[in-house]
Amino acid sequence: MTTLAPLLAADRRAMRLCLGLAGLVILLFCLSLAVGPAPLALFGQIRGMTEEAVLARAILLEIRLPRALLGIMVGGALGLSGAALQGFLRNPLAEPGLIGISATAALGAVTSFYFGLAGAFALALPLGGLAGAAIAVTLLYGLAGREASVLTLILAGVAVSSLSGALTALALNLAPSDYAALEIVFWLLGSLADRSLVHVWLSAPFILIGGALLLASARGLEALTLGEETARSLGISLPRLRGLVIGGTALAVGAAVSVSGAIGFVGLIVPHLLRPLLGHRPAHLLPASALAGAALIQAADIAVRLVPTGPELKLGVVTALIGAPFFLHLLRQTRRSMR
Amino acid sequence: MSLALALLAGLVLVLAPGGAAAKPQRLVSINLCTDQLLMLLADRAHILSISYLGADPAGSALADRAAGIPLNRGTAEEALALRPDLVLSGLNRQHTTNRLIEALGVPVFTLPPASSLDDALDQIRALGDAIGEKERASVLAGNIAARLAALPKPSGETSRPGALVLQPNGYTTGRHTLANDILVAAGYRNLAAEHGIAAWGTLSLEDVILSRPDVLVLDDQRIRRQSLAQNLLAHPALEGRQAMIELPTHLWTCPGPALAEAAERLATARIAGRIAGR
Repeated sequence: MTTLAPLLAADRRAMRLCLGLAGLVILLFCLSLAVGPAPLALFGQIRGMTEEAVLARAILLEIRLPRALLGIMVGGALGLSGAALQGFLRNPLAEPGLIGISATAALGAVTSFYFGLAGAFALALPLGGLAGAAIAVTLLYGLAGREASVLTLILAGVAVSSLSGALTALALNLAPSDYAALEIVFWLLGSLADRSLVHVWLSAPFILIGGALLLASARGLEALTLGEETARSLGISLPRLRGLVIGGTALAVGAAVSVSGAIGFVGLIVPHLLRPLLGHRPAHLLPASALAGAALIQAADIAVRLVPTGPELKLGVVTALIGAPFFLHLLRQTRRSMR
Repeated sequence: MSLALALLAGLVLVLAPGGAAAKPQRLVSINLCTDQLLMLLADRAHILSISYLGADPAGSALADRAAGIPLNRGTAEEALALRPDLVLSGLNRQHTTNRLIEALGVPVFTLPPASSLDDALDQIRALGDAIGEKERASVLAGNIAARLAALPKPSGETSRPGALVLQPNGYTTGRHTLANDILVAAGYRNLAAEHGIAAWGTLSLEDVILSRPDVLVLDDQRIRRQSLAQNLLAHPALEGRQAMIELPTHLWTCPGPALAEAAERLATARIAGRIAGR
């Protein structure tokens, strides 16, 4: 594979781009730790036992660190799964948000969170999201199939997405807490505000395993670009590849949505921005998409903290403002193939 | 026995010469706070209906008194169907309902949200006037004022601990709220008022920690039911930094004797927990 083969120019370019993106992620991570209501001067004396130091550590480690870490994990999960789904379904518009995977993951998380399941057993929250995501991917695959036209998949996604949104609203209205009904905005648009390290620990294992499965699908996806027959003759097992992509997406997106709500368009924007720089090879595109997704969510999360709105903007608002025009542009480009 | 007494009392009331000539006899309340004042001040026989909120123990300090009173959901149609002499309602969110009821010829007494303790006591007297129970209202307001005045005070201004009311979603109560005056009466400083919050406002988790409260006042129901709004109050960053007092929010939502109970509980917690200013 890439590491064993002699480094071709394209590989070198991909490597350089990934290193650059990793640098960007680290930069945004530091920026994310620095941005917030508390003045920067407070962090001057972070060591020691003075009252200021204790305060500064609490803000940095318990409020801002979880936010920054979740930004990387959630963005990485969304970018990576978008790139993998586009390769696997051979559909440029496949994206966890657009085709309803995020919405169904939110439904699963809402069901386990508001009805006491997650209160009794903490892992029920990511597992709920995971179950929702798994049901959605399986349903879409059954409904639209792998070689479906762009249009069929998107329409199936619209159906799954609006059904899940409606059921989420229903579940929130039936939930015992008076506040639940108002919280649909979080589940439909996503936010990282006031999350804690508990959310990081709950989602990290699933996102990491899901991400590993998706990265492992790169070789199979690469063969698949040459067509199914060729892929088979190259020794790629299609059921195994399907398992990697569906399982990886369910794990990564399900766990991400269960702690951050559904943040749309990331998986769409990121691979499309990278393709002109990297070409279409999944082995290059997948890791780069994970990094770029992490950078995008972190940047959006820093932006919502800087925009002086009353209650903080939801992340999905920012990604949709960027993503929707982008989606329309892509739609125009692919119109011919949709006929 | 109690039934006989009640009947006797009813008889006496019927026989008693009417004080105010136009004392309304058929009262309907469609607002949580007027529900409670009506149950305190009006005769049961005159209360045709209160809102379902007044009977909900989660939000009403007098839910236990609501047994047997028909409940409504706060719509004009329900209120009018009962042919009331007077409808008691809130101001802000019920504006359109009130206009509709008035347009159809039934007078509406509106109770705006109380922005101070004096305001709340005035409102009790005003509602008493409106339903012809001036005497009872004045006794009730006087009682509350006396209980608040009798609270133990901290030794000096500097020893007042800084308190922050923290409700789901990070909502807090600023200077012009009932909660502010209750906190002050109980010997605290209201940090949200010092933070420049006029009435209601939200504080981010960072703001809460940065204001260095000596005590957080939280609702006792805060995490019994799951929601993101309530989970915020269980955020690890808030744990172990300051004292916490659990106080049911319904005690200081509306004008009534519960205000005195809220202040008494807060003052007791301050003394028993040795919560002092820094």
